[in-house]
Amino acid sequence: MSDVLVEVAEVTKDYRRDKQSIRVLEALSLTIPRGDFLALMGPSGSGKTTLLNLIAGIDQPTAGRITVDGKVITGLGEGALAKWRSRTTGFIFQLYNLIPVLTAYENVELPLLLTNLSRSERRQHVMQALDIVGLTDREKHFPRQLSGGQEQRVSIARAIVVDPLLLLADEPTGDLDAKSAEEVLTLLQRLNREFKKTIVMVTHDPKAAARATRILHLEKGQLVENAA
Amino acid sequence: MLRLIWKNAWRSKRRTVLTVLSVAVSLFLLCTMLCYLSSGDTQLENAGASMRVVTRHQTSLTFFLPEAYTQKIANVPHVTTVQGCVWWGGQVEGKEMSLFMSTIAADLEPTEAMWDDYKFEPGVIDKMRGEVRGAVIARRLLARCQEQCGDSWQIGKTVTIKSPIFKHTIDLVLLGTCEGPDESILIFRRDYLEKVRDNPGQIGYFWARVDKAENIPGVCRDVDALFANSENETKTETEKAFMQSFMSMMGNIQDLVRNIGLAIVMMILMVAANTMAMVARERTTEHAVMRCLGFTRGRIAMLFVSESVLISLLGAVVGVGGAILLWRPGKFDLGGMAPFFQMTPGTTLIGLLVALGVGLVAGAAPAIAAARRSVVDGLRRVD
Repeated sequence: MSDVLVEVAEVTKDYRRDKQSIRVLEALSLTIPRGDFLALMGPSGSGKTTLLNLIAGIDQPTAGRITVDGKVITGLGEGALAKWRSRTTGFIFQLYNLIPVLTAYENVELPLLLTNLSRSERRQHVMQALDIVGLTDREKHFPRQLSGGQEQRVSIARAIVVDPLLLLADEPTGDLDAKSAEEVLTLLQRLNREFKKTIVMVTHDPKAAARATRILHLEKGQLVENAA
Repeated sequence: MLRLIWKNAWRSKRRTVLTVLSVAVSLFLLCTMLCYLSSGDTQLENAGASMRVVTRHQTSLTFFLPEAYTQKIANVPHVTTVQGCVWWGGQVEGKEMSLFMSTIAADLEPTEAMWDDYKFEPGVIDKMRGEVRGAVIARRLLARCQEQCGDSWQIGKTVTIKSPIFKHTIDLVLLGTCEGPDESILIFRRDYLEKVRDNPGQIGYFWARVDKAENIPGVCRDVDALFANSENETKTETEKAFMQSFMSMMGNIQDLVRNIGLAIVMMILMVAANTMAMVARERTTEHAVMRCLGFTRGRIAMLFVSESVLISLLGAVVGVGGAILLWRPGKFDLGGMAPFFQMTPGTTLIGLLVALGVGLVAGAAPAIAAARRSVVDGLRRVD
């Protein structure tokens, strides 16, 4: 098994706005080893989220190739990509994006509905994920009954419940107060160190980035700095 | 997944309740109209099994035929009984619009033999022999008359009814009841009508009973041939054809009912489609998130259409269920104009299929749009 989990090779991404083409990423290459906790920083419009989306397989590059765990995901069909995402990646969003009508338990269970697990097996996985994020006592609470920090922890539980290889976090502390942000970052750090999860995190916050093992800066679609 | 569909459907309770009620009211109206149409169909079906034929003036039902035709028709091979009748059309003063009755002046003697599909109260025909003003009334019509006119409508009492055709009134003594396919019938003696009108020997139409079904076409042909080139040529047809020509007089009403039914279906469709379009717009980000989690386009579309179908079917449970409860057999007959007005299994099935179709169509377009939208665009959207 290769030490490299993600390989981004010469990736270019253009967006079309009306008749105008905008280049967001240009011939960008990057490797992410297994177990890495990578922070992507950069000003707005630098291409951080675009790069994250490309690695997650929810967007396709204009040119170049992306390989995750030895599988080339560039050019895969929608159905194959959806299946791949459900097994390989876990997503953490800035605004948590929990389903408001589902309880914390049901939100975490959602990705497992795509598997063949039995109800009791699903319960076991969900409770384990909620235990990791410290919210077993909130399983029956709806998102509106949780604080922002708790919502984000439920979102993290939802991301890890399928035991993915890769966690992708887009500004996970961007909507949180300082204390909750600290808790979430500590949790991400624990997932990386204790559970060996590879994490790619987009952030504007230098304090958040400092928790990562590696920081990359993007500017105008290109990597400009690599700090340890 | 079913839990998710159910919870999604009730996300906006007020909107869902209003949509379900809109679908329910529309389906109730649709079922009511279908009941009216199927009542006519059932009448025709019953008439189709009849061994009776009707002879009337070739020009129109409004022209009379001579009484002398009675014996001539009776002599036609395979004819077993003949009865001369006049459609009198009864109305009660002040209840012209709400109380419909098929009042017929008929030759008394052949009544029981001719109308063997009716059950006459024992002895009622004998009583009519002894009372020229005597009449036999359908049991359900009597109940309806009692509801609307009070205790004056009792067996043994004399009632006054007027004719919208002959523009005069007559007094009839109610001597007994009968039960049969037409529950709006009131039969009295034709000789009494002749006396009242002082115009004997006039027959509106003849009923003739034929011995075997296979002889019916021949009898129709022979009767008409008998009076061909006479002053009063006839048109003889089966009971079903006679009913059809009667109903065709109301053809425009039936078409109107059908068109209103179609308009109702379109209305439900628009209400449901509007709801689902709003739902799709509100959940754009959520669908994108679900696709990030691994939900395929097809699964998102399926969730969406299922929700739409669920809402429509809930409407069907209320609307079609309400129609089943309200339009039970014998509970309502449009004042006697639709004697078989009731929810049939066929009408129920149509109501449910319309609900299913509306759910599928209303959910399909927003579902396809939601499934086609790119995940990145969905995530970028701020609600």
